[in-house]
Amino acid sequence: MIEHRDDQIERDVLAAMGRPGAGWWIALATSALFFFGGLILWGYQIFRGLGVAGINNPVGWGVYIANFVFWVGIAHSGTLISAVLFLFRARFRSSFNRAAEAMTVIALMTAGLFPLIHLGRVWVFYYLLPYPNERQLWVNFRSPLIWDVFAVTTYMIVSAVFFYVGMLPDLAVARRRLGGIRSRIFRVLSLGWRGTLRQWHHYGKLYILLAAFATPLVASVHSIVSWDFAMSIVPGWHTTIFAPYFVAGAILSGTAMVITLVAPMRRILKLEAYITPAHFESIAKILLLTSLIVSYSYIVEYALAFYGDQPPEAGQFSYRALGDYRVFFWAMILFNSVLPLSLFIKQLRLNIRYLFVLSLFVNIGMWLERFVLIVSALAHEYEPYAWGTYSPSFVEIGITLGSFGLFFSLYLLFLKTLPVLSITELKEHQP
Amino acid sequence: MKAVETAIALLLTAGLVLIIEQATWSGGGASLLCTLTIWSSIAQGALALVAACELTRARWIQYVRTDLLRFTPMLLLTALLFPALGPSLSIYPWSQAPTFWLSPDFFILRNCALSLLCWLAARTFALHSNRRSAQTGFFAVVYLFAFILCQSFIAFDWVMSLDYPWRSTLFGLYFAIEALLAAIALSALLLAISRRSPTTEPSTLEARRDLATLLFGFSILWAGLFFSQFLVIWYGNLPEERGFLFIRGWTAPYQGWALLFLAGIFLLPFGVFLSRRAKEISGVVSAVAAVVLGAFALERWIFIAPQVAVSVPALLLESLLFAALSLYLVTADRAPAASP
Amino acid sequence: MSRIERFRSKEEFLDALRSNLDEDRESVIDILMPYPLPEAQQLMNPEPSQLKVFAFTGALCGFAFGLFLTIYSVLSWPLIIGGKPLISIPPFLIIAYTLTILFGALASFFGFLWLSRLPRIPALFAAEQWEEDGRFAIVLKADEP
Repeated sequence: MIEHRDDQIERDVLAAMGRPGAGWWIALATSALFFFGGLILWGYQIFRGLGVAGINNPVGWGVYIANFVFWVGIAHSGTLISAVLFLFRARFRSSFNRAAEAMTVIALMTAGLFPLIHLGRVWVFYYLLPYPNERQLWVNFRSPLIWDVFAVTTYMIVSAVFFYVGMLPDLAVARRRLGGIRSRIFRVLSLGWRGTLRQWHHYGKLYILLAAFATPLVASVHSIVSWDFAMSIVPGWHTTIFAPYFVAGAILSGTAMVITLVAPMRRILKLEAYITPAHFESIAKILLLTSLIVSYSYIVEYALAFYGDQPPEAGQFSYRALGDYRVFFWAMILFNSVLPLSLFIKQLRLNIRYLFVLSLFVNIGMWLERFVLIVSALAHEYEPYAWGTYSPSFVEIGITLGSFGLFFSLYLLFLKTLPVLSITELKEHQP
Repeated sequence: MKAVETAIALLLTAGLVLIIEQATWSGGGASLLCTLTIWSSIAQGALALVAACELTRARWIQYVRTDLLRFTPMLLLTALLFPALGPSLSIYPWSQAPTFWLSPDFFILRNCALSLLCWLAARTFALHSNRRSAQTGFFAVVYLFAFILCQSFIAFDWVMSLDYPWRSTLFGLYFAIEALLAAIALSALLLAISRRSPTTEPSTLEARRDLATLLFGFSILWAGLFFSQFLVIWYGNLPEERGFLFIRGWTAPYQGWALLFLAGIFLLPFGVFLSRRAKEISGVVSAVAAVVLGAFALERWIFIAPQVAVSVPALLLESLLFAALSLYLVTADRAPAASP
Repeated sequence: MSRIERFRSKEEFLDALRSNLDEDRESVIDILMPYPLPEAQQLMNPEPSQLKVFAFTGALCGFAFGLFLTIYSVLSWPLIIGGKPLISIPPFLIIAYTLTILFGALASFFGFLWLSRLPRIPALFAAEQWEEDGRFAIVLKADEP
């Protein structure tokens, strides 16, 4: 009886890796088209120089940095779901963790490109790496940009290891169940996993340890990203709440992206039996909680900007709400703070279609938040003489769309090459 | 009958605290402010911890839930004592040149109203939680909102405005997390003395391990928040911001105490609970929890003391009174013989 | 020599494991499980995993290396930047912290590979005698040589 159910789980999950339909090909072709469009534009930018982008004085950080923050943020909820919820023994994570971990790795790949794109002269990227150059000078370890190199690289490596380790027993299942070349590939990837006592024994310990190492990363990586801004003394950036605020924002956008990705996946790959509305409800609660924290941060930032006597700070926050970027600002408030409040209603939390639509809005809202935060602060610093505006050029917009193309292409490839649910955990947790 | 007894205990504590405040050696209100800052955080945190656990269905809370809920009357006490600060608001630098927001009347009014609101929310929540009613979740959410609001005002109004015009946007969240940390430490102490949980039972063991892990995790979270605030101010090095850190971190006598509370809230729980074995020993967990609570109080003192003269004997006496009240609240209806 | 017994359900597997262990502890060479069963692990009662030693050592090395790298590099060419002290502990702690996690996680992973004897090279290229087949199994000493 039980064996039959185990068998069913294996077949259902691996069936998702079957021959892709027309829809998948169309989706992949569209995403890849965007990605290649972005690549061509990047080539154009390398050829012509960074001047083809809209960034200039006074706004030297634009859409590229917003994209970087956005994609690193997206990555966070993957680790939250796989590591933090594991430590909190939340069972519902096993429906999402594989997809979320894949999303983490893919989003970090996408994010990692943007500092390179923003460099302009990308071929000297190695200036950022810690090594003594020909004059025996090292990188400046006091610079937040170097912290970023360390934080994002570490995050990338640790989440890739975590993703792989979580998949190891499933790779052995795929090796046994799939035929042909795939069997041979999975044979190598599964490292000769047999599920012996010794293997499981150390595996259990490893998983706890990796979760324990990954959990502080959830909080620290986006904190460090936030310090790229907060270490400066730019009004609107230099504020102490940035670290927790960025972390909450990252998880908000990340859970939204998980919903965006998993809701269609569940339907198309026929995994309704394994990913239920109740599971979505739990994710929606995390979304609601982080949305509330983000709203709290907005309120505190605004309230304290007018506390005491600090004209530059007050000026910055007035500008943000009423100045050139006010439409984006109010859209961001609507999408990140107001719309998620509807999740207090249980029926809406259980309605996957509603969650999907909401998640799209939150994704847009969180992207806008990064844009507003970065651009409006630089556009309106201390010196009125140096105020100015920024609007992205077609190259920046194209590369941004290209990054979405890359993200979705890689995700679509993941769907057809690796087990999208944790077979082992589903078996383990079945009633 | 019980309500009357509790009311008498509250009034007694309030009266004694006010008598101490009247004494000449106690300094004008600063020690009361410090006491209230410490104890209202502990009491509000205790309720918030229960509320958060109700929402996440944490299992260990069942051993200390009723004990923590008994702290509800203490919220009323802080609301009652707060107006006593009225005559001594001159300890705040803004009282020389009040603005609309920072004016003595409005300051007292809004903080009293908020404390009362928090107490009401807590009371409703505690009633529902004790009855295990279906609406517990709803009132838990309501209370958590009140909690965050109240902690933010304790942080921004009570403490931060002592350093006016210094400001730190993180302060409110930091206080809220610290209140939860204090409540977790309190729970660990309560678990050790709780009658419902014989120390040797396996389920108690598991609860203790969970609590110790939570203390470990929250001490790391606390360190993260502390570092976030420290780093931004240290790195920015702006004259209007750095004074706050400079007095507390680089001048005697506060420097030594600051290192001590860092060690007490972060290094000690972190170092001790790395060991799995330590999480299972009742004595170790209680000792670490007690140190965390002490270090938490010390930190609050360091926030306040450099700006206004806090009389340490008065602070200690008042804290002792609050501790006695806590003990009374937790143990009062345990003795079945008294009630007719 | 050894032989393998496979089971349809985890209950059958646990029963068989119990009776085999009761009969002769030495007869059970190994067990294969499609997913971890805490009961079976308890019955087999292996030595506590030493993986935490790897994790702890890795983490400690990472922390030390992070501090060493930053402090050594600023001292090797002393240059005040941004009005910060030469040895700026707060920012250096970030590097040290990051490397603590990186080294700790990698050490745990490689420690796991070492302790569980993975990858098993021959198994990467060809099927072996007893592979995981989705069923619980007990590897027993064969009675006859």
